[in-house]
Amino acid sequence: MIRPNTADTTTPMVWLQGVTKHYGTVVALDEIDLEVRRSEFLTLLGPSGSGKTTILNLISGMVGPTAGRIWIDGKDITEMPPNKRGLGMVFQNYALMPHMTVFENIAFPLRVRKLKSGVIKTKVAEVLDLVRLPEVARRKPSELSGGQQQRIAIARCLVYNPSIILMDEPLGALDKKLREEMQLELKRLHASLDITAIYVTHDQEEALTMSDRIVLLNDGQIEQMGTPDDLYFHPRSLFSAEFLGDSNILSGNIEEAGPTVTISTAVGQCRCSRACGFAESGTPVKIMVRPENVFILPPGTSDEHLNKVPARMVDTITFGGVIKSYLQLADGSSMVVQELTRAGQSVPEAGSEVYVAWSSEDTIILPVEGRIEIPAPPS
Amino acid sequence: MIERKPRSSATRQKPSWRTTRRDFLGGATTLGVGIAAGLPVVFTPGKARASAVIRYADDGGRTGQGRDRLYIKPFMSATGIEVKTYIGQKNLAKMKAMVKANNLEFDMVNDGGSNLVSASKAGLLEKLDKSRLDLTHKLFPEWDWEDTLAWEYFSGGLGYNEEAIDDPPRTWADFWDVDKYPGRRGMRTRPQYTLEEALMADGVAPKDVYPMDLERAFKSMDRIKPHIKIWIEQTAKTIEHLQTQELDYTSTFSGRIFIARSEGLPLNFVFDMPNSSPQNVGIMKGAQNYDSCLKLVQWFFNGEPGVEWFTAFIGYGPTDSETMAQLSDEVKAKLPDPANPKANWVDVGWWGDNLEDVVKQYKTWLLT
Amino acid sequence: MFFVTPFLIYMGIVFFIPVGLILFTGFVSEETGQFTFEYFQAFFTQGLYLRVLWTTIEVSFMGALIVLLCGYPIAYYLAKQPPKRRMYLSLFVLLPFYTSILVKSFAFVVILGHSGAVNWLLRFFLGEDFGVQLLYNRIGVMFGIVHDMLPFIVFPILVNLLAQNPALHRAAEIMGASRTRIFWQVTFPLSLPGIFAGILLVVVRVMGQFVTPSLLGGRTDIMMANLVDFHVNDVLDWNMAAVISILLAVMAGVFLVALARLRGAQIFGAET
Repeated sequence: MIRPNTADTTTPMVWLQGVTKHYGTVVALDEIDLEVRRSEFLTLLGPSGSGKTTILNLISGMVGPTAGRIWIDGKDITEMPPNKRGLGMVFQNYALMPHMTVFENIAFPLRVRKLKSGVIKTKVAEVLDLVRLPEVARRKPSELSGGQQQRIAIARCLVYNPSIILMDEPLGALDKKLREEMQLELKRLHASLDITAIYVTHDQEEALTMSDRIVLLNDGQIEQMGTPDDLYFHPRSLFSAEFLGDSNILSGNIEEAGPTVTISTAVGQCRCSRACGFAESGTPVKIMVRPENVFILPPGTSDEHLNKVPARMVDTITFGGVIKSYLQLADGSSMVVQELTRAGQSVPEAGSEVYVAWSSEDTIILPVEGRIEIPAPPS
Repeated sequence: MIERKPRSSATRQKPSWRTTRRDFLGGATTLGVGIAAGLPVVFTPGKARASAVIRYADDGGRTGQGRDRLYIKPFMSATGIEVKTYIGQKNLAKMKAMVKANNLEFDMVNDGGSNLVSASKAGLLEKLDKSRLDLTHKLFPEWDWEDTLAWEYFSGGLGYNEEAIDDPPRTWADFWDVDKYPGRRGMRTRPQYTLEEALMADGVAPKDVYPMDLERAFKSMDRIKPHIKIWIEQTAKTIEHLQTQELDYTSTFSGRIFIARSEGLPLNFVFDMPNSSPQNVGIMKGAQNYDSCLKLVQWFFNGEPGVEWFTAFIGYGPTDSETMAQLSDEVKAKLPDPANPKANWVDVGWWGDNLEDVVKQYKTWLLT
Repeated sequence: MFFVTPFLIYMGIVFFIPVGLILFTGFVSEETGQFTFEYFQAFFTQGLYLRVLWTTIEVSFMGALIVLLCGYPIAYYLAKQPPKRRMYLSLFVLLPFYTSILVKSFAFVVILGHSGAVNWLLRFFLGEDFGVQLLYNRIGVMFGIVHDMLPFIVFPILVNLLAQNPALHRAAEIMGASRTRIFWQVTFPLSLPGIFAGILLVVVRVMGQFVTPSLLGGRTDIMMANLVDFHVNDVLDWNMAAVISILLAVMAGVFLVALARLRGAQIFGAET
């Protein structure tokens, strides 16, 4: 997906400045510093309880921070009540008024802003066209399908042109196919309108697909922040590596640090072509390599740039477009190999001894605990 | 004393005491009444089992308790006859229902004269065998009926709160005069004694009150109607309203006033225009223990407890002249003087003939 | 079916047969034993009965309206409380159930009577002549009814308010709606089912009241149940008593049906 260049050095659209949120003794957010750039599509990603919905609630004004300030478009709105902030929000369960028609639902924010009835009619029609549901104005929400209701919820959000739209797992209630359709729909809308979108989800695939930037949250703190590529190819912690995409993890110690790093593991020596800035010789580390970067070595091949490890085949499963092979290494840990499905492929039998290999460029070194605290490269 | 309690009656089939019933309806009646009468909350047997038990109906409250202490208990120890007191609905409707169903809940009843004379006229009471009663010293020979006997009399009239009012109306005409006496008034929701007051207010002398000119009485009532603050259903409430000063003066009974006084309440009674009426006893038709009941009737009339009772409960007077002679002057002073031309003596016979119709007319009038 | 039989027998004895007898008494002439409308005719042609009928309707609806106006804010307030506090406060709302009307009527005199608290305050601030009669008239009846019926209106509305989807209110707030607008355009319309349920309970109960009007009302506040009492005990006209009872039951039934129709006409479903 081609992403527009969101490099922008002007005032951030939303700025959480040192925001902390406590609920009794529970720390939901721990000194978060977050800037949301104008017109970007930012995803707040993380497991349940990581604080992503809390951030949304703080921005919308539903809760206030225990400490810290919140700025929208250069203004400190920490004390401002929610109904004055001029934001839009889309909920997971749509939150459409069941007793009003679709028209009335969408017209609601316009009536709040005291627009004239003719203007309202026009705007509602426009936005219904935008979400491609021009016929349903007279119906009640209960008469629409889940996907249609969500589109109406989005329409209701867009009709009064808020500068920021907050989305709280809006596609969570839809089935897979519909979800994928809606993801594209949302991206299309975002691209065509000049809106800043803050999107909350726990689905990493969704985040990778839709976002300009992802903020990965873990237990009230920002684990890692960056573009999808950043997070996918350059995870800075075990948590990041495991949360986005699949990963194979091995434990080891650094033997030699340098432009190429050698790590000794229980199953052999590995090389990594990237400099490891945070650890020196002797430090225990974790090695991560993505399954799609690992392959089963055809017998007889040898290459110095390849990391090679003996393994035994356990199982092979076809997932439609990809094949995953599950292998066991000498020390008992497992390895997953992922390949695109091809007709006429031959896969070693279960139980057979093979070698798995991957390029030293694809090796990622991660700390055993915590994260690498290097400022993310500008992207 | 006439007492109406806020208790609802058990479901009853309608009896037909005016016309003959068809057999077809009679069956349904018996079935319905049988079921309904069998389910009252107070489950009492149809007839007293041994002849030595009298079921006696009385009021609750101070007077009923006093009678139980002073009359009933001594009677039981003196004669060995057991008396079970029934407190509850004992009005005309109840009596009719019991007699018709042949299922008495009480054998003997103590109630106001007008009620029992009406009951008598409706054939609900047993004839009193006067040959077995000693009634030689009757104070009021004109109170003479076949089925019921007057054993005491009580006076109605104007009660007031001494602390609020020091100059109450002294005649019924004065009570009707709202300019001269602008106090807050109460009257009863029943026509007995009320219509007499209306006539006397209109200028009718007590000796001419009966037979009552109803048209004149209701016209007089019309005049006072808008000025009545509270229309009182229960007698006890008359005292309560005077006590809480919701009312300045109201129709009530002297006996009640004196009971309140003895409890320390600053209430008083206007003696100038009393409306006196007999209190009777009667034996229900079909009562099994007639002889025992007759003994109790005698006991009420001139039994030993009389002096103590009339001394303890001031405002009530005996119908036996011998008992009267034994009362102290203090007590006698609080009883209405028959020689007073302004004192009215209620003609319960008239009420006996007219009660039902007049009640209906009065209640209708009240609502409009 | 077998297990229902004892219950049916019980219901037969305590309900069906007595009700049947009442119907019988209302529709069968006492003199002729034939089916007749004469008693119903008497009801509808005499001013007294029509007046009392009107009073009953008036008191029922006026009472329901006042109870609604008093009860809705209470339900609203309760809905906003944390659950534990709400439970304790609910005990207060249920107070009318713990006290008997006879005891309450004394209390009302202390508060509303001529020498009661309210009048004392009025006279203190406004002068000796400004006493108001709040008892033994329609006002007294209304006090009694509102006090008795408050739980019946508060709890249906409270249940409804608690069940409302909070996301709806949040969405409205984020869209810029003021608290007033949120109430009138979201909360209130969605609470209509609760309101209807409460109103139904209140109206039907008030229609059958007779203790409150007789203890706290004036002579013109007589309702149909009082009239039944009058005919059964004082006048001994049990045919008319049956007629009035039947009509009372019919009135309640008609209201029930009308309300159900009205509710069915609105498509306020459960919130999503």
